[in-house]
Amino acid sequence: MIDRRHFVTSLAGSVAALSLSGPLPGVFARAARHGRAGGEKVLVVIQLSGGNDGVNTLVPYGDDLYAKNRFSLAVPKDQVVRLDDYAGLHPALEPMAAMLEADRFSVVQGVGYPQPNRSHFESMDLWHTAHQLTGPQSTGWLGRAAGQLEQPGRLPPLHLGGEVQPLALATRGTPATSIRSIESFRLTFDGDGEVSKLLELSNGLPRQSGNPLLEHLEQGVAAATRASRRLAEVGNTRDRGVSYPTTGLAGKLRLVADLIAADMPVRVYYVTLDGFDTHANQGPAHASLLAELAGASAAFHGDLEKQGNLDRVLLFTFSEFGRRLKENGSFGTDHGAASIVQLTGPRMKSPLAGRYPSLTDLDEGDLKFTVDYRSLYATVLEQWLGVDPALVLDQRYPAVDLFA
Amino acid sequence: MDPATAWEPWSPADGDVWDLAKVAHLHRRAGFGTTWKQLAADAARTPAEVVRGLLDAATTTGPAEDDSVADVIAAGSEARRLASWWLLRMVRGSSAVRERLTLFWHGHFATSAAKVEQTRLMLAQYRTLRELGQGEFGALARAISCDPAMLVWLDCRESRKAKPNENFARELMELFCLGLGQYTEQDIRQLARCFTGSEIRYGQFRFNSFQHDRNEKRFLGAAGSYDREQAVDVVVKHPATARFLVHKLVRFHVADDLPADSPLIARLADWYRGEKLHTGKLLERILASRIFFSAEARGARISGPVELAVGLMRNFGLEANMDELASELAAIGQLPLYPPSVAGWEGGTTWINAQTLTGRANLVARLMQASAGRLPGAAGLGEKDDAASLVEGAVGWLLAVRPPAAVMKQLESIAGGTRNRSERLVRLVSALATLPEFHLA
Repeated sequence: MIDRRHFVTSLAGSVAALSLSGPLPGVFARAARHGRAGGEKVLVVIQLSGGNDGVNTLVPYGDDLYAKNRFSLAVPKDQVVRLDDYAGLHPALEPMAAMLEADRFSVVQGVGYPQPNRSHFESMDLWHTAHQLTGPQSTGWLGRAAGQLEQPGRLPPLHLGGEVQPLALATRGTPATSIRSIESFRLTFDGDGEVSKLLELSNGLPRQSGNPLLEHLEQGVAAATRASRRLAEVGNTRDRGVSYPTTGLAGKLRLVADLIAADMPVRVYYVTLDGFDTHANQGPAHASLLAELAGASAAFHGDLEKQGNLDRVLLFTFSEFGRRLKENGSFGTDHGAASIVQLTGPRMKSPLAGRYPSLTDLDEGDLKFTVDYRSLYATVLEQWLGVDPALVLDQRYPAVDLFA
Repeated sequence: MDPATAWEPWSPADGDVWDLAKVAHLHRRAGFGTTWKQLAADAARTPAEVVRGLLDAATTTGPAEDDSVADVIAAGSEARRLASWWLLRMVRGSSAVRERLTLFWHGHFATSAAKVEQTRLMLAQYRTLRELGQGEFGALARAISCDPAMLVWLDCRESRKAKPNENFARELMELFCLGLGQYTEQDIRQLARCFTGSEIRYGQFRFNSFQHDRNEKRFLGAAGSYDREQAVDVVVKHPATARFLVHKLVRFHVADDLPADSPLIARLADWYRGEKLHTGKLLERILASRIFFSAEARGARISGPVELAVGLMRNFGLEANMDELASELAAIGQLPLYPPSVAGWEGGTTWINAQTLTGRANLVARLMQASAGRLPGAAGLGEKDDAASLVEGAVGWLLAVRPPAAVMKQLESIAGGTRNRSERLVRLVSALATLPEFHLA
């Protein structure tokens, strides 16, 4: 049930923002002027589905074993975007150079978990649930985090895309929403503006019914009105001077950027990019996927920078597993284990975090993990979202030194 | 309200009359709402007669009860089409009460086609819930304990003597009968032994006697060499079961927020036990009760997405593309046959946020517009046909709680003008759907 104190505060805030007339207490007037719910930190997760080849994304070019194992797929040394004298990025990630130079890019190396599962579904379920009870009762790590972040007026995590909602967002509380377009926040039938007029009037008349459900609904309608108004304003300045590539991922991130620009009360966004299961003829397919990822991310960050939101949005890019070190007989790679996670947005301590797994000490041909992914979750939960990791994960995990 | 009298039948009195608002309240909560004409007709009967009639209709069949279409869909692999089919039956079926109660049981024994995949198993489970949902709970629980869709959903395709599968035992106690805190992990392990020998083969339940543990089991204070059905009966007869079910049914029909430990619940649960957990009788008692028709119960629920859409379609007699409707419902949080987890839909305030409210209003507007002017359910509404009487009629019919006077005035300007009657109604109802009051049931 709604916390009364929060309810009253946020309702007063919304009325202020809507009517902008009459004397307002200072804090509400300020909030209304800035049109901002406090500039809270936002997490955007990009899921690379199918098992991204970490070895060819963060290339261990300094090790001869790399080229030996990747006889057809090895990225030539002179094309690697070097991060240190051992590892560097696939050239398709070139668009991330600006973020790299601004110390806003970090790759965590060797991310995985003990007893690696090489099934797409099972490993993805583990990442989504953070290794907690699987089955129909499962909840996702972000679903559980959202439960801790819940506040009146705030929206649950938002998944953008037409695919089934990722298990990571599953919760027993307020369900996450999936949307395909920004139209989900706009009334589609108010051609002559009569309904907006009605809402303006109605929202300015608190009901004082004593019915907590009606209070919840009033607050929801006020939030919906605010959202659609802000999005309309963003629409007017839609061209923020940023151009996005025409790819699917770029379209989704553009939508996220629009929502952030409109200051939607959302803390967690989730998007996916599929196609990383590159068992055959991996070279061009993987390069084009990485280019899609980098192009979309770079445009997104450029947009956020123009908005002045770069520091408060963290992009977290992961995949369910990496791929085998040795390429297969079809110019592709098979399911592997430890891989990388990319973090971009705020200022980072270093472009490389953790330690690159050994190319000789392998687990059935796969890289062994050096950082438990739950350590990364714990770090992001605690240091970015401000949620106690113990309430989301099954035990304590050491934090990873990421943020500057 | 005094628990001793709250569940006694309500009868009209001075200052507390049987009016259109009460008839509308009854139809919204018992079923999915009804046409304006039916409302007026029911206002001329007694409340007890109307409640009885609604429940009797639950045993009649009409064209929408013809099962052959469902069989055709179930022979295919698109379970989503079965959801569309069920939605159509909710809209057209001769008994809204029965479909709504089946929706309740579906949310209770929540099983998702997303995992079960075989459409025919989902249909078979739906038929079980519909067939047994209005009778004694014990029979329903026993049927669910060997329901193939449920056992596939809970990863219980097989439970062997040497390694009992505990999932069904856990959910039977936690989510289906007792609720958390009424049993121990030890109870789960013992109960799971009663279910050994259960197998699903080729979509059928089979009992493998070689894999059944015949030794004594001890759980919930009982001891015996129980088999599956006997074990279900032990759980069902536990006093917590009646309280747990009554609480859930009262939340679904009377008020979202009524606490589980309310003396009102305890009182009705005692009565329900005395009636051998007969849900049809319980439903009749709830729907005819003083508390049900009290001011406190009015607007004390938030309508779920299915109630919202099916209710609108039944009220106005609308037609729609049901596949499209299913997608729209998924986007606002409730696609039948696809509950989010075995715990079903949490409901109440969790239905509502800025995105779902906009989605709900857009859905209402689209359904109204798709009617192309045919609104048979609204025949007779607003006799004088002027804006004021259209607004007054529609608000009394569709809303549990009246919006403020200034809002009513503004609605009149939306419902006025020179357009024809059905266009004005479409505009009016679309506008109503943006108001907070519209989403209370």
